[in-house]
Amino acid sequence: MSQRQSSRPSPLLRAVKKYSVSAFVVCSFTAYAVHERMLGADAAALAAASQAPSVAVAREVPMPPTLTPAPRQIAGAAPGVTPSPMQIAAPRPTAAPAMLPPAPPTAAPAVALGPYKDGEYTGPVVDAYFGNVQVKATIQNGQLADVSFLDFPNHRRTSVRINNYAMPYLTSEAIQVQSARVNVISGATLTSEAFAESLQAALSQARS
Amino acid sequence: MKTTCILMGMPITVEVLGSDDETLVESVFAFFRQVDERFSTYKETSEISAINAGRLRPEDASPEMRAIFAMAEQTRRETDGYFNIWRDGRYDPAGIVKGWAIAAAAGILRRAGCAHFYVDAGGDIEAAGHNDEGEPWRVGIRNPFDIRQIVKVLAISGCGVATSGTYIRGQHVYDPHAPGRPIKEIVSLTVVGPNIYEADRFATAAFAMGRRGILFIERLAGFEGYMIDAGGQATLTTGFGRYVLS
Repeated sequence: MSQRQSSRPSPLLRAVKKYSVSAFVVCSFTAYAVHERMLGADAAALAAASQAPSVAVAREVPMPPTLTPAPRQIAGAAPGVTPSPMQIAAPRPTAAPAMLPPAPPTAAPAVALGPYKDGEYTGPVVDAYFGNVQVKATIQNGQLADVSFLDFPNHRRTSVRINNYAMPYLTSEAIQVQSARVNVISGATLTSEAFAESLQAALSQARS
Repeated sequence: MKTTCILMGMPITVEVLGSDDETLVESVFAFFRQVDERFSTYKETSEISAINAGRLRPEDASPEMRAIFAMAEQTRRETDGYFNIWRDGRYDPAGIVKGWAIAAAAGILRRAGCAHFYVDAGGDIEAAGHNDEGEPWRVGIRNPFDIRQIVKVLAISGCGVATSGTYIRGQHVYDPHAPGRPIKEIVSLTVVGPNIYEADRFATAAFAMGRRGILFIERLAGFEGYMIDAGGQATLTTGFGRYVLS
């Protein structure tokens, strides 16, 4: 009897054992859950994306009912007209990829533009929606030699939600500069609009 | 024949193969000018300015204006509100007008019998047929870190290509919920779609979604995307590779 009793753990010991087993189970479960959560982040990101609203894509671009091309106007035919667009008759694309800024339209036949005066001209700050854009144009020998940004968007007012998910496993690569020639370039829309606007204003100072 | 005009504050280029019809190209630019007169928020005399000034109610506006508002509203619903022409207490429909105008300009050329052309307005492009070498048009994606470079060359025919983005020159965007921890936010998102109207509106909305935007494009049937983050790392949707030349 006494031997059997002595082999039995004391109530205190049993309680300690019970709690340590419970703690082990709880910790294991937690660790497993954390592990699964980390592994599942990609799937969660995809799941979040799959909750995005479904979209019906029109094959035909909707056209306003009455929009038809306006009667033809020849640029430059009406000299008094307010800011007449610059018309640039460009040659066929050659070996070099097109670059911003476009070459100054010195040879434009439609609108006579005087040669630019040498110097540095600063365009206005233009709201590019994602931030302000301001450029400085440098004219050398009557030609646009350099354009630099004085101000450019470095914050996004529209920055809405930033998720904490890892990226899903789509293909990924480091960007690499390409030297192949191209017909046309796709680039950031809103900023380039503002860029062109600020540049145009800087160039108009150079003309005056 | 390739012609460039600065209109709507950006360079617009039209190149048409096998045609020297200057009056046709001029009618395309006249159309852009007409669009600008109506929708420019920079022009006091435009219809959109009249609406924003409270001189004209949107429901009393021209059919063109109401059509644009309807397209914007449809896009807002389809993008979970990420696309919205109502900002800072006024309407700015530029995000829908531009893609629509390029697509409509391409329509003018098609109806005139042109099969091989592209229309490029500020880096958003609709391309049809082939280039002067008989191959699909070669469309470069501009490097968001250096506007003089391209980082991808695509072969495009019968599609629209639009890029939304910003040039941030390496600055980090910070997560306001975790200050001090830099995150690599996206700087450029290029979308190829069935036409430029579709590509442009979804590129604009998806860019505003941040990193999640590429997933939104991934889910859209008939659309592919190329996203560049602030660290210079690109993410491609599953089928984007079919457009890539280099």
